[in-house]
Amino acid sequence: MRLNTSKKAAAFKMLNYAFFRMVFITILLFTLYLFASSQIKTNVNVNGIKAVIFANRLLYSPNSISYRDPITDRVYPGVIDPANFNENTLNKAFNYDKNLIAAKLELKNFETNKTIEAYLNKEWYGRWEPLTKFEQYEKTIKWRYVLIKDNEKLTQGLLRIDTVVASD
Amino acid sequence: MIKNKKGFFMSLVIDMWGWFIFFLGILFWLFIFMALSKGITYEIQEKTAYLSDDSILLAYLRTPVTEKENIADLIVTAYRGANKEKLKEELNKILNQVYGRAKPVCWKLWYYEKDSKKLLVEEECGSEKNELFNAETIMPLPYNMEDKAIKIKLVILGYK
Repeated sequence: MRLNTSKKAAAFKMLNYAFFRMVFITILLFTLYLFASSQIKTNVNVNGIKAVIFANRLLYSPNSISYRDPITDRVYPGVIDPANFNENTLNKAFNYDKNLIAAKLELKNFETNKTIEAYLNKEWYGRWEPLTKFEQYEKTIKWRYVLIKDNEKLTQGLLRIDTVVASD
Repeated sequence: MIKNKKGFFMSLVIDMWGWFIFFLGILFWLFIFMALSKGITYEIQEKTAYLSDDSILLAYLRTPVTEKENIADLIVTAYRGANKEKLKEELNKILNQVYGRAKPVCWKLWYYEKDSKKLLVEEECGSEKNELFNAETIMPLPYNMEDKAIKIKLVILGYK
């Protein structure tokens, strides 16, 4: 009976000492985990690609600014219809609730030398554009040669697309 | 019962020192990794650029030169072997309006014949080369020509 009590006490004391070890090792491993996880970046920056996709959708979408033949329904990417070059058309064509994106488009007509502007998500473009010096907001500028379909006449022009993408 | 309490505590301390040195070792490699990986980024660098794709070449081909002619017609004429200067002049006008803000651009227009590339017309380059545009497309030829279509390639090589 006495032997049993001593064994119990010994086991208790051993557990008591092992407790310090366990706490110590746990703290060390947790610190290592914190250091290692601080070096792992799980976010990939795709804002640049978002801006390119936006520019392509802008030109290829049948409901956007490109000219659409009323008889054949064919869309001519790169031929801009000035009647569609407005905020209303853009806001209908793009869903910016899920994609935090805003853009300013400038269309310069080489023949008349006039420039017209249209915005997508104008309110937020005005708010985000001054903040593009910060990492969360990224501004991209793209130029593209286009033709402008003014009535039946095609004139040359340059489309400038300023896109601001906000990180989620 | 533990008979040698002193020995037991010493082993505990040595054990903890072992783990601590292990920790320092891992920490050392982490700092080495941090120092080496500092310059590595995977961001898309070019934020301001001209878009370059085949549909822009289509816009160049559709550009009217006169009321009845566009650039595609001039290419057909040049492909037949006539009036290459007119094509060169008109392409220079368009491309310099778009790209040549400070300096005129230099470019080359090829057509393909049985998979080999042949130069149709060009604006010669100086030493400065920085490719701005590269696209190709297949364009139909008039019905009275032997070939039905030709594949063409336009590259804007940089500034003169």
